[in-house]
Amino acid sequence: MKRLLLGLSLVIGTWMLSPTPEAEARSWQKARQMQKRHVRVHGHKAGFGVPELDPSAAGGAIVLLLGGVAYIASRRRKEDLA
Amino acid sequence: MVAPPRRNWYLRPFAALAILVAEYLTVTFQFDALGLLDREGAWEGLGWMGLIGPAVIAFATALWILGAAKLRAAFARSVASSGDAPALLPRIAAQFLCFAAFYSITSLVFGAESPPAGRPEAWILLWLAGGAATLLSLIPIAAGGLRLAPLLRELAMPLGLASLLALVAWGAGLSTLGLWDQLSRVTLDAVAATLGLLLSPIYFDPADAAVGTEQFWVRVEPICSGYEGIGLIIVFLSAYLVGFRERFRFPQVLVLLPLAILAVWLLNVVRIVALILVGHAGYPDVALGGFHSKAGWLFFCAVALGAIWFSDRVRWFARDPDAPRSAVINPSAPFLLPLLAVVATALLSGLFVDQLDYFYPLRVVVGLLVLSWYRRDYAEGLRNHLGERRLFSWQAVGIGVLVYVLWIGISALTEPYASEQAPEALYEIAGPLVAVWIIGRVLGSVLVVPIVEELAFRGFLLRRIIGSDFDRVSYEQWSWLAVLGSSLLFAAFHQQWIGGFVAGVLYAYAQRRRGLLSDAIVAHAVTNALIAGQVLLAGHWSLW
Repeated sequence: MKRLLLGLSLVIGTWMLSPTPEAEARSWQKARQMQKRHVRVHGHKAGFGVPELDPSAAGGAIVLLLGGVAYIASRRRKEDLA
Repeated sequence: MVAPPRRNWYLRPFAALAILVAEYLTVTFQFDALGLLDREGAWEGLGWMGLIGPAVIAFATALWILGAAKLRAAFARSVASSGDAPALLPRIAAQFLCFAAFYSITSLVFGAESPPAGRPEAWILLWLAGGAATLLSLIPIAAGGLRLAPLLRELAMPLGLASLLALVAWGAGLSTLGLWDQLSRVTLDAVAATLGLLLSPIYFDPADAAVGTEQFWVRVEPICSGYEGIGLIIVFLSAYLVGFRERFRFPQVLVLLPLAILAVWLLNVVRIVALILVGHAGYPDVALGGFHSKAGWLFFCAVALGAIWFSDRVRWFARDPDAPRSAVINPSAPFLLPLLAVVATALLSGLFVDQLDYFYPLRVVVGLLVLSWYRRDYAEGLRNHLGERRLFSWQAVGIGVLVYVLWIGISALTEPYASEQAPEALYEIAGPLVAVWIIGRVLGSVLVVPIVEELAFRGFLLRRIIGSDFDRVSYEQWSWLAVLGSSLLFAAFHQQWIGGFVAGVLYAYAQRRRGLLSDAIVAHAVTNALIAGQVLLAGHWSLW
């Protein structure tokens, strides 16, 4: 049952992060140009959409997260090693 | 009697998975389902087929959770009995033909300005048949000598449950599409309320989803609503609870999921408020530069790692809450903590800078401090592994030079228009501080980074993938899964997918040659020293 519950939450989370059909092909090439244009046109006096998680800073965050998990998971009791 | 060659069970399924991912990306990057949504009847229905991708991902994830042990055992059996399996090449050729046919049909259906002639139902059936053939033709590649009928019987329960979960997720996913706007409205109100406590007057235009001050305001669009963080925290925590389920008390540990979701959303509100305050204080470039790109990740990491720490220490959640610190040891600490400290410093200091990382020398100092804390562990490890051999190796230097040449070549191909100018901000700081910054940058690049990265990626991760007791795995041991896995993460960390991956594989080879981690460190240091030379002498600043 616990696997089922965890599996359900995992697939829903995966879904939430998956691309929807509204995502435009080749948008990965255009994203940076569009963002620059957005900033130039509006400047800081006007509105600017601030993405919650910027892909350009993802590398360090992933390593911090996975490294943190690996560190916590590696703790052992001394008696287990004896 | 000749022993059969040792083969790894995961090579064929992973190869099939890699082909599937490559083909999926090829199709999704080239064609849009979006245009079909404007058409009528069956064509519009086909436009919604774009949702199949996430459903397949959800199904595969659920199947892995529920049937991983049986799948592993079955593939291991297939490897043991695959001596008389048909050759792989004809299977790959057949799969390629199926994909070529599917790609052609897709280009006719999705790529053209107007729909192709003929009945749309016939085209849709043809497209579905092409997709099914492409998927099914991967099975013989993944399965090798495996007999499918008994495997399907064995996996009947996990397959059924995975299909059910994917279906539920499909419905949940569709319903959440409508929640984006609603969540952004709640986030907008929360930001305005919090900001109103700190500043007066504030600028708030709910119709335009805008909030801030007269000097600086932002638009809280659906993408800023906290939805991404919520999705990520669900995936991360669920995967963690699945992976370490024997440590926790169920079902009460599941309470962590809604708590973490709430924390992630609240911190996103804090992030937007802080961003507005930074912009209002006269630093709009910092607010829209370093702060907005780093703060979200920093808060997400804080919640994720905080939830793990919490789950391990609270008796209600953990089966075996921590023993006193004196009774616990962590052999991964000397390998992981230097990199984690450097990365955390970089993320934190990155909040306050825009173009140039003024605080780079700070992460060098932090890295050196943590390395010096564990200096006895490193000295003892080096003594044990080095024995009578020399520390220095010309081959390691050669590998470092080779990585440098490849890195420069790949960078020229993948980023041909990268700016070669030094950051303008560098000219704006006083002369002596420029010298301090450059010395810190070189010291970090040539000394600290190679040590902390090699300790983590080759010293820990590569060996941890080979065996759970990583400290008992020799540096000479080689497993393609471990090399590819550690190199992929190394590439993701550097956000240089090709160059980073190749470098990771070559540094792993440097370590394996003499069974010394120090050789990988030397190779990495040589590469970084040559890159630093090219930046400072030839002015190719895009390499930093």
